[in-house]
Amino acid sequence: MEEVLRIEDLRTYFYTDEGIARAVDGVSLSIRKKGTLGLVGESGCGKSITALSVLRLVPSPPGRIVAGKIILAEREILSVSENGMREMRGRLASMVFQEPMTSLNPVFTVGTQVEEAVRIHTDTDRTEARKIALEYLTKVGIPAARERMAEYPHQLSGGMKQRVMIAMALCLKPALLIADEPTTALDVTIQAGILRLMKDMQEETEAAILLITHDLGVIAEMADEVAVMYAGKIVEKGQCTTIFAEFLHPYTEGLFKSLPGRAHKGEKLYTIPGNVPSALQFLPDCCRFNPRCPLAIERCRIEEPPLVHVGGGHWCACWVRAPERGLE
Amino acid sequence: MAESHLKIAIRRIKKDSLAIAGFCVICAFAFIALLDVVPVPYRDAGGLHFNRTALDYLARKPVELSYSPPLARTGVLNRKEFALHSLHLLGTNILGEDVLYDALKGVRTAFIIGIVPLVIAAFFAIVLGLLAGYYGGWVDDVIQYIYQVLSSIPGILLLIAMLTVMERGIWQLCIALGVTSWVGLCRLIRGETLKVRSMEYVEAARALGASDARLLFRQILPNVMYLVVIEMTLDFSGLVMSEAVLTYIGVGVEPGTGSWGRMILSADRELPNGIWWNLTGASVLLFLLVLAFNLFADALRDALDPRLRKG
Amino acid sequence: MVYYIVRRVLLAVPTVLGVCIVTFLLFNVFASPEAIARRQLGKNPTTAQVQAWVHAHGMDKPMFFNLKPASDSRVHVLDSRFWSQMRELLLFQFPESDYLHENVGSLIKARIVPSLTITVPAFLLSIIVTLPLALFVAYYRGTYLDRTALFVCVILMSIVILNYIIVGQYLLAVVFKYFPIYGYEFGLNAWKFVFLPVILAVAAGLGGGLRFYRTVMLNEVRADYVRTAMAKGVSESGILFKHVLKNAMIPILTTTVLSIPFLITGSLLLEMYFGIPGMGNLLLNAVNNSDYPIIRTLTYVYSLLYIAGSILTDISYTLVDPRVILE
Repeated sequence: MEEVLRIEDLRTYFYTDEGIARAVDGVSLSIRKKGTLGLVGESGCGKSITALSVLRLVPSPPGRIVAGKIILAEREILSVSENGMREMRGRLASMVFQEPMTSLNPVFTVGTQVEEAVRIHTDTDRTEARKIALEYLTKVGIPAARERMAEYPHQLSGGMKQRVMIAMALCLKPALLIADEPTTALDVTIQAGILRLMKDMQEETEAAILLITHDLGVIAEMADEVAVMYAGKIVEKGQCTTIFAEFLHPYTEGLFKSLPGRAHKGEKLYTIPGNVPSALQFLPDCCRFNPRCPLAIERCRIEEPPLVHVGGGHWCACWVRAPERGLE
Repeated sequence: MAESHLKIAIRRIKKDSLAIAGFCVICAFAFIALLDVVPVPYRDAGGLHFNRTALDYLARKPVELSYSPPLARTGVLNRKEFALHSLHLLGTNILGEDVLYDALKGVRTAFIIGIVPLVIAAFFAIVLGLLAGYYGGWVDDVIQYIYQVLSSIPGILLLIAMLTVMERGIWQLCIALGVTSWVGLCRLIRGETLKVRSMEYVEAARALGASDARLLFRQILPNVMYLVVIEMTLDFSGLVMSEAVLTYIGVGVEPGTGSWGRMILSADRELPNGIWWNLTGASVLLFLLVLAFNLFADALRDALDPRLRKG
Repeated sequence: MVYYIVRRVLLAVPTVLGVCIVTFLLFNVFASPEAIARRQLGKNPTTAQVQAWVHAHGMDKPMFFNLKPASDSRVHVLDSRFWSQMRELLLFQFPESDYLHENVGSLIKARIVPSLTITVPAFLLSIIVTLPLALFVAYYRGTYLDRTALFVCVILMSIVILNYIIVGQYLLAVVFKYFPIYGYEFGLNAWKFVFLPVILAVAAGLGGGLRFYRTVMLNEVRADYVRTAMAKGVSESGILFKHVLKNAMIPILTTTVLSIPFLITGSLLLEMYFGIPGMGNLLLNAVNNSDYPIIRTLTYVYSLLYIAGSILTDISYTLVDPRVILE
């Protein structure tokens, strides 16, 4: 099949002392084989939770996937048993996290941790697993990989640790790689290297990538398609080139306008007025962006705009910019 | 959504029904302790006496000859039965005193032993911990040396030594317990002060010209207080239990003060003779108070935990 | 490593000296030699007897510095109470007990083994029982099983150790007669006398220990690396027994290794109740008999053990935490 991942109307809620936080509230997206989808939004919009939901790693006492369908490589994720899910994690889909400092186990060597991924899912013995680990550690650009395999995470730099994470995630050639803000915690100078690495590895392993970030620059470099999230919902999605050139949604517009590069010297930097609402405060039956939207009309306050197909795979949810025309 | 930490803590605790039950039990015990503090004077041939408290007034029963089981009509002395003057819910001890009354008299002692040493310890710990963490350098070295030496000496020996010097008594015991237990809290406060000292809001205040004393009291101390509160509520039960143990070893409160330790101590002679009510009365009350405090203190600690302050 | 140990030991010297000074002050400044003599001599000693006792025990010497010339017309400045006691302790030439008239050093030697026969099995058994239980409870975290276990722990912790001992001894030894009530035999038969105290010690510590280990485990379970392991497809038991356990050992070791030297000092209460002739019993009797040489010596020994324990703990960190480098 062409599609590696298909999410339909996913809803993941958190049941807390202070109320129900609707972190992901009706998200639908899809990624084709070898494609890269960028999921963009500010912190708190639900993009990380969407990613965790795909692997069913949402912390389960407060969180729960309440509704929706997730189809990964033709398997219905939400109806699989926990054991079955465990077999898929790391093999069919794997994940790279934001904080390389704390994401690796400090008391095991780097080589052991990569080997572990191999040995869980395949029937190889230690020597064979070690060979594969060495192979991938070399591929991700760790110099003197054989020696460094015996080192502990704290002996490696942030960039190196992230390369190890990528090796760990890709050594079983999964169909989907989920990268949650992979470069946010790294120095700017290292970021480019990591992104390039991910692109190269994608070429080699033919994996699809779901890239979570708040950085439009990263999207521009890596993604073919992009989806913009706000307050638990997708407000705009489409091809990267289209969105970058012809963004429609006022929030997307705000994001682009806030990029420092666009301001001229001496001009005040643009910021979207207001604050991102907390997931506990999401209002139903309205456009969630309307309190901060310069274009808001009466309808925005009383009815939620659906995602409307504006043409060429470009979708937008806005009463003003994309009034109902061709719904799916 | 910046709720005050106290409000968040109270809300979290309200969700925990066990903690609330614990709190109610603590209040009930505290009420009994208060009853034992309020004097109810009486007049007799010798004049006006103030040594009777409200608890005495309400709960003291006439003294019998010797042992009697709970709710019994007769007691036994030298294998002969004797009639009882009144009904004793928990029986009487070897001196014929009502066991329930004896046990209730122990509540005030428990609260004193549980709180006063902590106040003393907290005083030393806060002052020395703040100074050590804030000023560093030789001040830190000296204070660290002091508490290293003190913690190398087994607490029980320090206690015994101090109590041999001072007379036996509840306040002496409190002072001794306080002086021997400030080290742990001091270490924690010192550590936390070190952390807080380099935080941005402290740097900012200093940049604005705040004096050292002001910084310490206004900025650092409030952020360190939660440690003190947690530690105090956690240590309460330990102290109350140690009163019992210390009495057994012989360094507890003076005779004549209510003491669960003394009642438990007498179990040694009594149990082989089938007399169980003295031990039970004291043990049950001790258990209930300690359990209530443990449940409440746990909930309080979880509620005040900064890592859980997600707001 | 050896260099590190030597450094730590040298650094500990001022602390040990401080301990000696504090104990000296406590036990010498506040009790007069005459009073001590009177207590040791029994009923109604004459003044002459008291004086003789005080002189024989060197208590009539000045406290710190002796500036009076002695019988050989020379001034021995260091012939004072403080320095002679220091010499005894620091050179390990322990004094003689006032009450028991035996050298404290040989008393200690005789009593270490009985103490160890209780503390060592109790220590090992505690770990063997509590650690797996904690892992089990961590596996089922968040469920009713976990919450019930936690509640039971708090209840067990709220029972005074005295109750465990008194009731345990009464029920199991007196009523059901499964075990001897009291006493001790050296050699292989010791196990009969030691079994009940060990079981009671483990039971009394179970609540607190289990809760502590559980907290440590759950702390680790919340860490980021656990999330990474789960994303790799590691099973729940793999996470607990491999990833979490090894990290959890770091805080567990702090408390466990620190208590190893104290296995020698024995449990005061258990030895008292079960008549075990160990170190704890020695100390208790010394307190009751105001036997200062023993108390002094034991305080000194205990401090050495504590310092040894903290050095051991720091060293043990290097075994489990690769991030720790001993400088």
